[in-house]
Amino acid sequence: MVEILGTRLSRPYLLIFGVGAALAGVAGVVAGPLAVVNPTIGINILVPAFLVVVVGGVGSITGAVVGGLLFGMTQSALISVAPAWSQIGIYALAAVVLLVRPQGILGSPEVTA
Amino acid sequence: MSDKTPVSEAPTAAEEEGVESSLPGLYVDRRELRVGIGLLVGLVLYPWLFTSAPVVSGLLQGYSPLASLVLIWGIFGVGFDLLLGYTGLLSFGHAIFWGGAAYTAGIFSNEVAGSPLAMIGVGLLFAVLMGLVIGFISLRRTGIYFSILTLAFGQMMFFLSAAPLGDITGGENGFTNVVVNPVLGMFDLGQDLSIPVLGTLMNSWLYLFVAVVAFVAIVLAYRIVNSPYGIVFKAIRENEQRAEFVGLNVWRYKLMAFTISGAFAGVAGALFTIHQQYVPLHSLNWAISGEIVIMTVLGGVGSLFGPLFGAGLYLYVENIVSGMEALTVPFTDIALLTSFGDFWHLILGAMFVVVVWLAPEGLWNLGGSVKSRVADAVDRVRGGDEP
Repeated sequence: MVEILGTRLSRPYLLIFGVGAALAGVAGVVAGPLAVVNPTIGINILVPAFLVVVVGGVGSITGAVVGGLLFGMTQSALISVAPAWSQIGIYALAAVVLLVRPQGILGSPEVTA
Repeated sequence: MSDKTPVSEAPTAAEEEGVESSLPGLYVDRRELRVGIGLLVGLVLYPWLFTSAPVVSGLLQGYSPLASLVLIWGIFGVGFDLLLGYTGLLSFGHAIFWGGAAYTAGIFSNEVAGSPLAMIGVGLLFAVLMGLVIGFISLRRTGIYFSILTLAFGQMMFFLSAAPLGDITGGENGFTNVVVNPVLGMFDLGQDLSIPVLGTLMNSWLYLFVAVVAFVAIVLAYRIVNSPYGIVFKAIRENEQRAEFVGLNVWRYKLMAFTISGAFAGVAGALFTIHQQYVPLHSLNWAISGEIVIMTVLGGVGSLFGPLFGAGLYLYVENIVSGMEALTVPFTDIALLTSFGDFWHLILGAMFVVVVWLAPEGLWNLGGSVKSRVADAVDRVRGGDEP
C-alpha cells in the first residue's frame, strides 16, 4: 500500500536489512570472546534469536530487549541449578509464552497473523 | 493400461466405478490401481536404473544404500506434504517424529526385540502419541505461531535427548546399540537379495523391505488425499474459516492431519534406524525439520509424488555430488571445475532458489510450470489486451 503512495520500498528494505545485519554483527563481536568461535556459531544462535523476537513481541524493540533478557536470565539461572535443563528451559518458556500470549510480551495483538 | 483390468467394457464410464479386489470389503479405485501399478514399476526399476543399469548408473554413480535412503526420506516427505501441501500447516518440528521414532525403534531393538516390523510398529506408535500431544498444544495457534511452537517443542526434544535423557539415548554420541534381526526370522536385511530377477533389480533385502513399506505408505497417502477426509484437508488449506462455517470441526481435522503426518515421519524414522543401525543425535535437530521442508518444496508442495523426487535430488547432491572431485564433461576427462564436490551446499542452495523462483510448484509440476510460463510469454509477444 505504501508503494501506491509513491515510496519506493526496495531501498528502505535494503537499508533496514543492512542495519539489522550490522546489529547482528555487533552482537557477534561481543559474543566472540564468550563462546567458542566456529563455523556453526551462527546456526546455534539462530533459533533462540528468532524465539527471543517472537516472545518479546514482533514489531516491538523494547519487547526484543525484554525477551532477550528473559531468555538470558532463564538460561543462566538454569545453568547454575540444573545445567542439563538449561536449553530445554528456554524453549519451554517460549512455548508457554506463545500459548498464553501469542502476540508476545510487549507485542500488539494486531500483529498476530 | 486400462484394457488389462477386468472391467474394460466401458473404460470411461467405469472410471469412478472402481474394481472389486479379491479381498472382501477392500474397494480399489481404477485410478488408484493405475497409481499403484505405476508406483510398483517405479520402485522395482528405480534402484536398477540408479545403481546398476548400463549407461544411466555410470552417469548417476548411485549405490544401493543410497537408493533405500532416498525412499525412506521420501516416505517422510510424503507424510510432511500431507500436512504442508494438503492441509496448509507448516510444521517446523517434524524432527520430533523422525528422530523420536528412530530413537524409540533403536532402544526397542536393544531392550525388547530386534524385529524390523516391531521396530516400525513402536516407532509408529511413538510418533502417533507425540503427534496427538504436540498437535493438541501447538494447533491452538495458527500460522507462523504454530510453526514456532512446533520448533520450540522440537528443540526441547533435541536437548532432552542430548543431556537429561543421555543415559537412555546415548547423549551426544547417539544411540549405538541397535540390533536388527532378520525380518520374520527369515530375511536378513544385511544380505544381498537372492531372488533371480528381483535380485538384479533391487540389490538387497534392505531395499526390498524399504520398498514394500514405501509402497504401502504412498498408496495409503494417495487414498487419504483422495478420500472425502482428505478433501476436508484441502478445504481447510483453501479457507479455514469457510470450512468452519460449513460445519466441519476444523480443529479436529487439523489435529488428525498433524498426527497422520507424524505417523508417516515415524515410520520413516524407524526405517532410518534399521537402515543406519545407529541413531545420531542429529536426527532430532531442527536441521532435519528444515531439510524436509526443503525436500518437499523442491519436489513440489501439494503433490503426492513430488517429495519423493525432492528427497532424491537433495540426497543425491548431499551424497554423490559432494563426493565428486571435479566437474567433468560426461564420459571424458576434461575438467571444468576442480574440488567441485565441496560446493555441494552452494549447489543445493542455488537449486532451491532456482526452483522456488522459476517453478514454485516444484519439480513434479515442472512441466506445468514451464507450460504456463511459455503461454505467458506467447501472450506477451502477441501483445494481447493483458495489463
